[in-house]
Amino acid sequence: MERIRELAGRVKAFVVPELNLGQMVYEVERAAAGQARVIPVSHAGGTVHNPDTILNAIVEAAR
Amino acid sequence: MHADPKGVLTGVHFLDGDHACCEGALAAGARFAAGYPITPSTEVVERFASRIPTVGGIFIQMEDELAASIAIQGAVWAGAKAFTVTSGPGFSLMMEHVGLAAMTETPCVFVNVQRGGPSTGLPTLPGQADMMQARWGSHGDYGIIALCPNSPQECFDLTIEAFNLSEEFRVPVMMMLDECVGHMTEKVVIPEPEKIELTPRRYTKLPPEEYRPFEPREDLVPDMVRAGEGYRFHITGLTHDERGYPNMGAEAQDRLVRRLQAKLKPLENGRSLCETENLEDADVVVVSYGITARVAQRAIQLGARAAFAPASSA
Repeated sequence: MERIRELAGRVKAFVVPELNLGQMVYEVERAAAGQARVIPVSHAGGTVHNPDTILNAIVEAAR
Repeated sequence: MHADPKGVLTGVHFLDGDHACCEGALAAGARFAAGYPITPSTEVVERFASRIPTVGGIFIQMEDELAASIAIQGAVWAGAKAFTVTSGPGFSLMMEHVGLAAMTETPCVFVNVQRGGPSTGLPTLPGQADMMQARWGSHGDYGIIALCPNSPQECFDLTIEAFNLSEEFRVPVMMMLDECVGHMTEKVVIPEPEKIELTPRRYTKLPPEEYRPFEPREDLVPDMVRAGEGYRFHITGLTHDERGYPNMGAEAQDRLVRRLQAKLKPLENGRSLCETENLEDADVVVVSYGITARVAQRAIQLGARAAFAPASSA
């Protein structure tokens, strides 16, 4: 939490992929406290993410 | 297999995450496990049941997960390091006893190899949807520690860490694997026993007449006793005072519940267990855990290959 809080002041965004529909992403959001965007990359499970999906979220976050 | 008497299978192995988790537990000194085996966690206790007779300990296949999660706590208070292993449906059934372990400050480890849910969901396929259950699954206010390995090597290393943290802070610690990591087979290096750091149980040095079971030391964690050495104590899930006896007052509740959370503050204030890479000039930070951390690393590699490199991971 402390690390996220520190980083939030100087990065554009956090991308948070998880094999759920959003759980730890809310902890990241809480730590970022509005200082940086927090972008979930949710997945319902059953398999893993396609890396391209995460990459697309990173590219979008960097814009 | 040839283990030394301490149960450490020193060497280079080709293990899946479940088996590596079992070896981590043995290396940490776990000599008692109880479980109601369930896919995709079965291999952890299957290996433990096979290995433990050579090391000296007990595995009990219980009638259900409730029994398993309370049997380990009895073993802990009798002096053993103990753990149980399950997956989503069993994890749900264990929640009452997670709370009991938190309330009675019983150092123990719950391994959850996560699969798709809710309910029986996807027994053989991965999920990471039990994370908030690990944090909040039992009722009441309490602190908890959860670790998420992303490889068989981390399954070994972090299982040892899980036992160490449980002893240091006297909390139940969750090992949150997922089906992919549990069934992924990779190289696992198990060091020599003397190179493995183990946190011993916090036994009191006070004589029986001065000992109070839930009187915290400076770090807010109380010391335990060895069963059979003449100490009398009482353990209850009810709100209790420093003697361990029920106290139904608001003041006792406030003091106890605040301490159960406050004793974990060192972990929030810098003793983080996360790994970081390339954060120096990052614009975007990927935060991930378990198998998803591996996929995220692949995504970042793909981005770098495409001459796009603003991303880092944490």
